[in-house]
Amino acid sequence: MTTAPGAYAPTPTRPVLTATGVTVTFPGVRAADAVSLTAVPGRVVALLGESGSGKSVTAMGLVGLAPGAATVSGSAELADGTELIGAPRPVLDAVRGARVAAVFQEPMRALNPLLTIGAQFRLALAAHRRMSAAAARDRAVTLLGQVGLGADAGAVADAAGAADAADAAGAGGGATSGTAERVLASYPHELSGGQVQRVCIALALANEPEVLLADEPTTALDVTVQAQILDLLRDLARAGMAVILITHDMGVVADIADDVVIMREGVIVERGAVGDIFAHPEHPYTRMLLDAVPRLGAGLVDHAVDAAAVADAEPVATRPPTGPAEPAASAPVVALTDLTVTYTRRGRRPFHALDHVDLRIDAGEVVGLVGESGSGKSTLANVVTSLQPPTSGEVRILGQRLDGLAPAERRRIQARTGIVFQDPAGSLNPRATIGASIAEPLVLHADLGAAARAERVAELLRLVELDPALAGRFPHEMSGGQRQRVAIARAIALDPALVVADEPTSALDVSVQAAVLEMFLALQRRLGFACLFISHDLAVVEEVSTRVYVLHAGRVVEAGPTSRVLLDPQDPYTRDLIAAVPVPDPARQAERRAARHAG
Amino acid sequence: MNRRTLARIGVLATQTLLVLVIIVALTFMVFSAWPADPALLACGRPCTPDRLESARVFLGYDQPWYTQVWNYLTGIVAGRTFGEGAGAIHCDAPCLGYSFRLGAPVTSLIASRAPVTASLAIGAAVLWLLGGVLAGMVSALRRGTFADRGIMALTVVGVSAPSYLLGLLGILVFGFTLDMVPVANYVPFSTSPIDWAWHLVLPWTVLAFINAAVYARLVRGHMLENLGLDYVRMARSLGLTERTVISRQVLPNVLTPVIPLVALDLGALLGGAVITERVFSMPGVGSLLMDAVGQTDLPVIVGVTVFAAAIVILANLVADILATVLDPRI
Repeated sequence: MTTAPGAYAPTPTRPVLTATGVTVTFPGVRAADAVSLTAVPGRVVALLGESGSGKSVTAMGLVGLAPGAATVSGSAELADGTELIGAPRPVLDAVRGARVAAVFQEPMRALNPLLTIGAQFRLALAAHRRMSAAAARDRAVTLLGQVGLGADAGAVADAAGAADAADAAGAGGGATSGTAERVLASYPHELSGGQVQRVCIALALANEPEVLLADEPTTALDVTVQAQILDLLRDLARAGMAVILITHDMGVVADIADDVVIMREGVIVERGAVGDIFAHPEHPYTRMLLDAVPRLGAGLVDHAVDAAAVADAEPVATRPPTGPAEPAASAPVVALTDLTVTYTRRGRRPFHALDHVDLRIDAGEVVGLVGESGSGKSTLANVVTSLQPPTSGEVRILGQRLDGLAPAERRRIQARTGIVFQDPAGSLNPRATIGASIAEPLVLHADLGAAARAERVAELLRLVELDPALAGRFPHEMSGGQRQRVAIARAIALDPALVVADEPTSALDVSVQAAVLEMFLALQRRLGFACLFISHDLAVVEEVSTRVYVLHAGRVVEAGPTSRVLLDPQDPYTRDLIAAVPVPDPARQAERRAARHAG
Repeated sequence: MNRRTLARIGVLATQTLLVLVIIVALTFMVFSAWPADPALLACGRPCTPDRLESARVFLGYDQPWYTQVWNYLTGIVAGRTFGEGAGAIHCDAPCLGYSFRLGAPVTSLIASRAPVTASLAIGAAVLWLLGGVLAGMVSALRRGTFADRGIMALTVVGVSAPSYLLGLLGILVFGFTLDMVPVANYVPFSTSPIDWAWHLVLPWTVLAFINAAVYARLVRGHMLENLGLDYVRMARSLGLTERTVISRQVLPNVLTPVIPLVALDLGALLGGAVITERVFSMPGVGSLLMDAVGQTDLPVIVGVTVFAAAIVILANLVADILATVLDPRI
């Protein structure tokens, strides 16, 4: 975009920002301890760590953007000797934007909702230079062009991906030569997440900074959009920008980082060139992180082995289960036929959240459902759990048609369906003990005495590998992983025939995700429930499911055995999706990126 | 303002009109069922059964209730005439009824009092908006300091003290003890703008103080919330000075939910600041209502109620339109 990839010359250059011994403390907590870091023009330094590692507060603390309660000490010096830590606000104001700029994780929240993009550019430009309104507008158009929101193909692709947002803005005409002008006249909510993140990057570039702090810039984005934003950051670095990339994602690091700094609990545990770290991780924590990452293509083998091992160890757990007979044992647990869900809003075109979808889940089977945001995944989950009535088509759960079912019958079916949501902090009642939360379905649907209920809760906690003594705790007293285990325990409390897991591990750190997934799979094999496993993460889906459905804009574009779909995708969208996932292997990722650009 | 905004405003206006009609009908019906007989008030002395009956016919109370409602509604739109022939009394549109006790159409009674109430309410609203927003901003930006605590303590007083208490205290301290400001009466703006304002200073301050307390707390809360949001961090990361961040980025976000609220509160006051008008002997719509209640002057009570309801509903409409115009997401 800005320069050809070939223009990159990896000659070592003087750092433009040198941080030494940066320590960030919150009252009572040391979030980062003596962290040193350099930002070098043309290179991407990844600051990698799990949540709570202090990576973000460290980077933001360099320019005084750490949260108010934080105290930052140490040194962060620009090439000309300007010291940033402890600098008075006027000094920081002169540096921020003009020499060090930042982009953030949630692009939608990073822009002022009440100002047009054009107004936000005017403010950003006016912070460092006097310029006329016309000049500011021209500069903004140029910047938007640089980040792919000009008239070029990149913008068209992204705009097409964001068809919803563009429609909502009443400007669904697609990108033409007026794209930049249209963006400038828009409010943030009228653009897609990817477009807004491009706008944020363009704003950060407005005053030609030397260093770009990118704080999880793609975490909130879909994988295909992530790939585009990463390309953009990479191009910026190749054009001479020093990029500090804060991330938790090994794939992202492998994709664009030159150097990696790995942080854990506020301390740097390992650092080095990206190739070395991935090839020869020295610190056990680094190795653990690398092992915990679900990898596309790797899961298949593991899965087969695991399944065999478990089958040997626990002969009872063969599937389908031979337990209490399901209504019509041969009937699928879920059968959706020609299902359409349409949302109509006055003055808007009807929106087909699901468009003639067929889907089947057999007893004891784990079926993956993959799609990006807005693809209809959650609508489908709501239909299956009878929270959303279909507009047309047939929904059969446990062999029974949902429509026209008596409320009592419907409740009986709901009792056989468990749900695990993405955010356990949100789905567990914060004022109830976890024991009470787990017991809730038992109270509603099972006729048990208090003692029997407590016994069942203890048993469920053991099943999800938690200490039964934790039953008296409140959700806020537990870690994210523990909370998700609790949510799983609640979902299986009534021994369901079907569990719908809606992004159950995407809010968790990789190391925690690996453990929770393993436990969940073991549980599924042992109890034999069928599972609809919804995720945007292809590697995770590959690890857990035998068959997979790929959802795009409300339609099933591809369905089949997981290995077939992921290794030999037929639909162009599936292919793009798979190609866009960065793999945690720098060499392979470089090949994949090249292939993606060639294709 | 685009087409969608205009369409929304159209829908809101239609809804408002409908609600107005229903409110008028309901109010009229409630007061028609009142035990006091309005014909008794109009019949004069001595009130023979004959005269009572003719007063009833004269007022239209001999009609079935739905005809009465209809007559009342059409009276608002087209005016109406009570009685026939030489003794007939005509009430021009918009006719809200006729007070036989005061010998005047309710509409003109309200019209003569409305400027007083409007002066009081609008002046106070300007003061409380300025004061409340300023106090809230200072409080938020100086969080935890003496200024913040002081302002928050004052707001507790403002929120909890009833207006008559503050009003009487104000009269006692500033009116009598210090003898700084007049304590009662209203001077029309047309007579003397200076006297007008001078006589309103104390009531304005009391009303404004009470409302500003609520606004200060609201603004402080919104401000603190917004200061913690990502867009503020982003603005700071771009090198915007804190002044620019506050004035150009945070303030619009803080005021967007507050401005429609002013319309609502102002609407409630315009229907009659009953207690404040009473305390300061202001001949406004509120004291008109109080007098009417004291004397069971039913037509006035109904008329003022309908008037106040209409103002509140229109204020709601204005608030909704303001919200639509100010926030591009709605």
